[in-house]
Amino acid sequence: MSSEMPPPNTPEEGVAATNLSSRAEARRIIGSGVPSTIYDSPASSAGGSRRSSLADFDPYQIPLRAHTQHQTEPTIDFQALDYAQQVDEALLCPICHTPFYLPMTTKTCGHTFCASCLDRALETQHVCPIDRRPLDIARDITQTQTRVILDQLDRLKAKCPNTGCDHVCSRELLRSHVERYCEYTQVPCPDPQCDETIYRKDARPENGCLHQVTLCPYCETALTFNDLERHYDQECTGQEAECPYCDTIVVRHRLPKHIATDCQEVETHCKFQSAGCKQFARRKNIQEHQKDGCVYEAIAKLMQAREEDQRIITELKGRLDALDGRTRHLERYGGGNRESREPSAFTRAAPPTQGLTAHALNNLNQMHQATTAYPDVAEANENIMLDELFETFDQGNIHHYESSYGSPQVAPVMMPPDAPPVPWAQPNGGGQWESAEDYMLAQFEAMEAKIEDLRKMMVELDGRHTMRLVNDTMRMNEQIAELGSKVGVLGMHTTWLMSMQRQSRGQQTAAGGSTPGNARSNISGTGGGGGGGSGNGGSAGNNDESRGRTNTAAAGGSGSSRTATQQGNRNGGDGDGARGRYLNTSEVPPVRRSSVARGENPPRL
Amino acid sequence: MPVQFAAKRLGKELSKIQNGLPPGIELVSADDLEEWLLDIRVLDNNPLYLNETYRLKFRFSQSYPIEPPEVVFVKQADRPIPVHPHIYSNGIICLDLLGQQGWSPVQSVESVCMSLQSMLTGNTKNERPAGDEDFVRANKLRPKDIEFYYHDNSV
Repeated sequence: MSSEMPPPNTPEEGVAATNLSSRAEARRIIGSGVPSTIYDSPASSAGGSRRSSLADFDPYQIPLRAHTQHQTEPTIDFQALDYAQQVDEALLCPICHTPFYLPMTTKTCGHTFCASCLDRALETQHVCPIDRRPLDIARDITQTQTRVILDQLDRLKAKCPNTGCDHVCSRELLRSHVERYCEYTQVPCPDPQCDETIYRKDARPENGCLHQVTLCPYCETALTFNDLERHYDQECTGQEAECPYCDTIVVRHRLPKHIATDCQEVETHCKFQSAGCKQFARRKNIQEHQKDGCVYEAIAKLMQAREEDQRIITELKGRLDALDGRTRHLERYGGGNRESREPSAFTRAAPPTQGLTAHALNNLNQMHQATTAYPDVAEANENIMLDELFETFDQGNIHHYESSYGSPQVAPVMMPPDAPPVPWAQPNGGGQWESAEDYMLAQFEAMEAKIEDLRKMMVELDGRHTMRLVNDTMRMNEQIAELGSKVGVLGMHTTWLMSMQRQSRGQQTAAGGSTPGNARSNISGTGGGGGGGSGNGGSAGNNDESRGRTNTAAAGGSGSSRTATQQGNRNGGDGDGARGRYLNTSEVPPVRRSSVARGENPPRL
Repeated sequence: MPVQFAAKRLGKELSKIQNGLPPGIELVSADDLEEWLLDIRVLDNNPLYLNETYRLKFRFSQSYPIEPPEVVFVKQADRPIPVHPHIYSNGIICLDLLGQQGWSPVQSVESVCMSLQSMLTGNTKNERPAGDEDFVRANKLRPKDIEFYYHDNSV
């Protein structure tokens, strides 16, 4: 990549451009039909230093117009372009009937025109040319912003406007073609003393100035060298010569060309001679022979295809070399103070502690050894190795996650410093960088690989975290739901018991005179029911029932029974009737009962 | 520059015209980019113009299409001047489209021909404009310099 010509508008070219004299810039002329008055621009009369010699001249180093003072002047008449394709009518300016150039759109009615066309149309009337709505030039007109339209216009295939050039390219590239590359653009004569222009293809320092007047050797017309070719082709009436083979009369100057390509009588070889055809006859016969189908035509095509293949192979080799350079850097960068594992090719099993980057780089290194050794299978190898590389990346990721999962350590993303110290394999004896760009590119790619690596790990880590979170939360959710249902059941029990208690108290109140035994029995029943939740107190209450009511209440002195009693007490306080009963009877004061409950467990009988 | 602009635009129009014109319109001659001749016919069965063909002469200035072309009917042995309340018997057409005010650069030779075609198609009056004889006798101006008063919005 670095060996290719720099693209247009690179800083280098800008530097080269500034080396040219201001006069050369001022004399910058585009297009064959431009009148020479443009030479006499302020810049040229400003008297910059002239180029000192022909040797400085390079017709391809003429600066872009952007560097000159003629920035606003159009170098190509875009409205006069021929297009190599059918242009959709929607892209044609309704005024000039050519594809929009610098389109402007009206804000009021949304009609689009070329900037110059609209300018011209508005000179006479300030209305939209299509629907005659009044237009405020300052306010109602805006540059067309719609990207799709501008892109379509940019992509139109246009023909180079220079006569003689048959270049076709998308319209946006046309300017750079004409200004920089087109052989038929008029450029200043290489002779600094000459003010004429000349086709770029003829502007060679070794040609010198082609504008000196000379005489046609045949008709003695005064001409410049520049015009000589055209003169021979179209005008020269001078000395003519007779073709020795076919008796045609041609201009003497053209005789060699006539014999070489046109004369029908001269003997010549079949054009497939290089492919093995031995036909040698007069041109007219040869032409018939070729028309009928020379058997060597197929071979010629085959050879052509082979040449094409060869070219592609060479190109691929070049690219491989560039890649090799980058890889070497990658190794150097990634393995400068780190080491890789064993260098055997196609290693799959990377130990968990092996650094991911180091292993990946090692693989890359092997890949290039393989590809340089067998250039014919380079591409196949590349694919295999790339696959493997990705696998390695994946394996590496998993290892790191497994080792780091559940431990507070940071995952060993980079190669740990205490990895097995095997020297890094260095193909071709250590990488020398071809250019700074290669170096930077390789560094950049190494960084990119690392970032990508980290990104993958992050994604996986994130996934794991999410999974774990979901798992844990689900379990907790279940537990909470279970607890919730238990609380609900307890609540139901309590409600049931309370209503039972109220009911029985209500019955007692209704019965009037109450006996202590009754009251006790009631309370003990409450204690037993409350203990039912835990089980122990309930069974104790049931067992003791036959032994005596007081004991039963005392036997319920474990936690649950006490809770139930107190609860019953508190609940009893809620109901006025119940309180009144306690106060009236004073048989079962809560203090006494609680002292019983707090005392040691009574012996069970 | 304006010269080139008119020429480019006319070149485009000519190549489009040579690719085909709407029915009833035919190109007779376009030898240069200054004066073109076209024939138009009225397509429906309007009895005023049945089986007649009319010849139009377009003259383009160097400011075309910013300025309107000069369009007149020309009289020849087999090409009469159509009878119409807005067409004088010397072939001058009173149509706002062709005047400085009514013209728009988005119009073209083709669109002018179609407008004239429809102007004839829609006409039912077998008459010349008022003052036709006086105008024809007295007028020495070029069509574009005549100040018409466009009063009829029905056309």
